[in-house]
Order: sequence, then C-alpha cells, then structure tokens
Amino acid sequence: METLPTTTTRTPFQYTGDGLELALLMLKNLFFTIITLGIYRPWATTNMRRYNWGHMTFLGDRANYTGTGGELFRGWVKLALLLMAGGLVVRIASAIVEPLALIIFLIYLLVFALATYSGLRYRMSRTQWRQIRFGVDKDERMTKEFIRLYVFGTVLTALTLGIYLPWFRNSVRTFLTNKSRMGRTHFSYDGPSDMYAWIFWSGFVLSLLTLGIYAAWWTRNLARFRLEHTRFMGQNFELELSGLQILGYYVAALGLTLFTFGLATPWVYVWGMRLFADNTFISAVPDLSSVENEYSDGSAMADEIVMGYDLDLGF
Amino acid sequence: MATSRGKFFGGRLATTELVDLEVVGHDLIIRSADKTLGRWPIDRIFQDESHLVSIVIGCGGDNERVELLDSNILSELPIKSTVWSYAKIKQNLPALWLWGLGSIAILSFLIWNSGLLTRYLVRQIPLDYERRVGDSVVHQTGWKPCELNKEQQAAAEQILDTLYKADPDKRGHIRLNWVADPMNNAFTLPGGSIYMFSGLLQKTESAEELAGILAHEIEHVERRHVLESLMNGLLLTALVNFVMGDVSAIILLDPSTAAQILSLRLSRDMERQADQGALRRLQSAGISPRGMVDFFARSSQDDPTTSKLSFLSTHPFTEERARFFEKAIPKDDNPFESFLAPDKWKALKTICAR
Repeated sequence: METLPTTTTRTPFQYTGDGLELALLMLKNLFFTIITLGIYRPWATTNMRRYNWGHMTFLGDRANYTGTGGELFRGWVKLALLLMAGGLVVRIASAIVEPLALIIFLIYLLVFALATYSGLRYRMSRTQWRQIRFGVDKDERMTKEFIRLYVFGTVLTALTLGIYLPWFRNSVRTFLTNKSRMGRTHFSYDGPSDMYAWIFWSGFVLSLLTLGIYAAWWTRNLARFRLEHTRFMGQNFELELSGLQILGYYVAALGLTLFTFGLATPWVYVWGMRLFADNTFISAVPDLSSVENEYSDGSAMADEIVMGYDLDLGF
Repeated sequence: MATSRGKFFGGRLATTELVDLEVVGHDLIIRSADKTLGRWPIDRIFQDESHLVSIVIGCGGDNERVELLDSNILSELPIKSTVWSYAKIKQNLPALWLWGLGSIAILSFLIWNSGLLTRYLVRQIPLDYERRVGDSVVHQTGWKPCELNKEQQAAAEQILDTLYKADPDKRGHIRLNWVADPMNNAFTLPGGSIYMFSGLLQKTESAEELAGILAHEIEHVERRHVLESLMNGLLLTALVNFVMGDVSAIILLDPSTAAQILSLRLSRDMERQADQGALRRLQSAGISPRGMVDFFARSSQDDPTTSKLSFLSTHPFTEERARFFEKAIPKDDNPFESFLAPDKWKALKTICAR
C-alpha cells in the first residue's frame, strides 16, 4: 500500500467534464426548471456547481460543492421578498420625495457591496478539496472596510466616467483574495493596481482598434496578471495560454453555438473549461499537510444577488 | 471476501492516502500502508451526495471520507450509486425521452392556455392605470393631435355618436385623435385613445369607409386588445427571464415603453373579433358595411409594392375580411346614400390639412 505522491514541481489543474454528460444534466435542469416555473432553478444551479466542482481536479483529487438547492432557494425567496418590498417602497416614496434616486442608488450600492462579499463567502464556504473547506474571513471591521472601498470605488468610477474601473476592480480583488483561505491558510494577492489598469486600458483600446480581435489577448493578459499575483503558501498561479488559442476558441465557440442553434453549448462550455483549467498551474505544490480545516459560512441570499446582477467579478 | 481500493480523506489536514477497503462482518475496514485508519459500521455508512461525479462515502457525523476507486464492494454497502456519468444516464434513456416529451407537452399546454391567464389579468387592471400607460406612450412618441375647428369637431362627434348608438354610456371613454402624418395607419392605445393618421384619412373615400375603420378600432378598445397583447408579451418575457435566472424579472417591466406598444401585432383572433364587433356596431348604427368592402377592394387594387396600406398590412387576410363584410350588405343597400351629410364629410376630409 502506498501514500499518494506529492509533488514540488509545477502542477496543472484539470477539468474532466464531458460534453454529453453536461448536455444531459442541462437538459434535466431545463426540464425541471420549466415544469416548476423556475422554482427548480436553485437546485439546477447546485447541480451545475456540483458537476463542475467535481470535475475540477488538482493533484488527482476532485473538488466538491457542498451547497444545497434548499439553501439557495431560501436565499432566493428572501431576495424576492426584499425586492418586492423594495419596489413597493420606491413606488410609494417616489410619489412623495423627489431626490429619492440618490438614496436608492446608495441603498443599491450597499446591497451590492455586501452581496459581493457575502456571495463569495457562501460559494467558498461550500467548496471543499480533500475535505478541507475554503472560506472568506468577515467581521464587522472588515465589512465596514469593504463597504467603504466599494462605495468609494463605484462613486469614483462614475465620476471619472469609468476610467477608475480597473483600479476599483483590482482593489476589490486584493481585498477579497487576501481574506480568502483554504482551511486556515490564506491566499494573497499583490497585483499593483497601476499595472492592472495599464493592461486593462491598453487592451481595451487595442481591442477597439482591431474590431475586437485583440480581446482574446486582452482576456489572456488580464487573467494571467490576476493569477500570477495570486499566491498560496508562497506559490503563485500561472496561465500558459496564448491569445491565439483564446481567439480560436472564441471564434469556434461562436460558430458552433450559432450554427447548432445553441445545441453545442455544453460541448463549447466543457471545451472552454478545459482550455483554461488545463493551462492553469501552481508554480510548485506547497506542503499541504500543514493546511488545517476550518469551519466557514456565508449567505445564500447574497449569492443569489451576485448571480442575479452578475457581481462575481470573475471569482 | 470482496475488497476495493479507495482514497481516504481525514478531514483535518489537506492530505490523502490510498487505502484498501474490506467488508468484515458488519464493518468496513479501512487500511493504509501501515495501519488501520478506520472501522466503520456498515449500517452507519452513507453516500456524500455533494460529490456528483464520484462515489464518496462517510460514516456517522465524522468529516472523514473515502472515495471509492472501483465498485467491488458497492453491493455490500447500504448506498445506491447516484453518480452523474454517461454510463449511468444511458440506463435511464427511456425516462429521459419521457422527460423530453413531457416537457414539450407541458410547454404546449402553457402556451395554448396563456390567453386565458392574460385575459383574467387584464380584467383586473383598472381603466385609470390603462389610460396612464396610453398617455405615457403618446408622451414618448411626441405625437401632437391636430386642432379641429367647430365643423370638423361636430362631424367627428357625429360619427362616434352614431357608432355608439346601441351603447351610448360607453361613448365617454373613447378619445379620438387625428395626427398630421402621411402614414396610412390608425393606432389604438391602452385606455381608449384612437390615433388616426391623416395618411389613412386621405385614403378613405366615404364616411362609411371611415366609420368602418373606426368601428374596428373601437372594438379593439372595448375588448382591451392592446393591453392583452402587451400583457402576453410581458408575461412571456418575465417567464423566460425568471426561468433562465434573471431574478429582477419578478418585478414586471414598466409597460409604458412606446416602442413596445407600437410594435405590437394583434393576433388574428383579435382582428377577427374586432371585425365581428365592428359589423354588429355598424349594423346597429344603421351604417352600411359596404364602406369596408369598398375600402378593402380599392386597397387590394393598389400596387402592393408602392402603396400597400399599412393599416391593412398589419391586418392580414384582407380578402377573407372583405368577404365577411360583403356578405352582410343588405339587399336594399343604396350605395349613393350616406349616414353623414356631404358638408360634414367634406369637413372631416380637411382635418390636419395644411
């Protein structure tokens, strides 16, 4: 009998999903979602996460997602009630107070900030690898700090007509990554915002000038920057993917999806996941025997807000 | 005695070990290279369902897990393998077909009956709200109704009064507006507003033709067809967004968007209902349906590439409709007689004239 080998060399992640399996899972999800008029959606989301997490392997071991459809459903119900109550208040108040728009904007900002933080916390707390839970630290002081950062970033982004956006995104990433952990061991992110902003804006301009062709290299450069500056136990992540590979994927994915009226979506999705996962490495595998487990939690309602408003910022 | 290979996760540290698994009596024995890692009572073993793509088992409330690397001992464990793999799915293909056909049947049923739900919902919407929706559309389009002089006003009022001869109480909520625009069209908006464009007015050659068109539009108003179509579209949009995951879809879109309403196409059923109602209205008002027949006949003779009337192009099956009105012309109908005096018809034709 033997212990599984550990390695100190550069090691890739691996996605082992299969197009046909995913297609059937999507079909099942779609069927139940339609016949239950959408009620099944949280369970469908959970199925997809369980499938994707289960096929994401590192060092031969699969990750797993421990969240449940019931949790997400309860989160969704709370969010629906909140939105309906909010909508009612806005309708009544807008008839009375004119400068209400500013107050609503601030409330939304606050909700989005909290949702971004707690949503990530929920997903991480439901993610395990080798039975070790991931998590995101959060207490009152950290929450206030994040809200300040989020509100300041959004307002400054609006005032600078979007120019501040990459600085804002990078500062959010710095905050959230530094609070993220596997068990008790923290991740860290040290990407300088000025450099991130340079990659962001130069890529944006070049993508415009090349009618979108450069977007593939832009995506690659941003992803590579983010990974290279993310560390775990002193080791950083790497992306070994060329812009041409991403461009090829984009073109083929678009063509396949259009010409099959969307039927090829599962295969295109699996291909994309494989392309990115199989080309992502950790520079060297650290001594994982010192990574201890730790209990984590998060809000399913926040996760619903994150999904509903697309706030996940690529986490 | 069957044995299996597995991966053991202790749950305290991020390490894993390859293990041998053996069922001995009522226990599962987990052995690593040099020691026994666990002895799990079979009746307390469960499958960890958070693992969708591999069989992972646990015991009691512990955080320890074992991933089975083969299925040798599976039959001896109190679990049913629920792994999402193609091999597993293939066993359930008949059920899958059943799902597919079932979903088509249910969808068809929902679509077939969506009209009933829409009509019920439309009846619950107060007229005041409907009128506000219509007003906001006009506000967004920027249409400015032409000012009518006394003679024009009197002539227009007489047509409406005549068309509402059978139910004069309802006459009050109709608001007829004339807009200087070469478009050959007439619009009915939510809340009882009818917009008649000067282009269409110029195409009509008798008061009976104009009355026929108006009677048709009035029926759309009375039956709240525009709101019904709008509600149908909104419900579908909301349903699709809701099903596909846009949580904000539970707050229905603001239905006052002009483009949404102006691009609405009423269903054939609604057009048929409006024609049937219009004929009854014309008959009870003592107006000959010949006007509609003449109008349809003249329109179909126009060169379709240059002068096809958009009033008709948005109203399909023209010939069928013409025949419908033609059958209702009384034998003693006098084509040279009109319900509106010639001077009043003349006044009407000058509405919106520059």
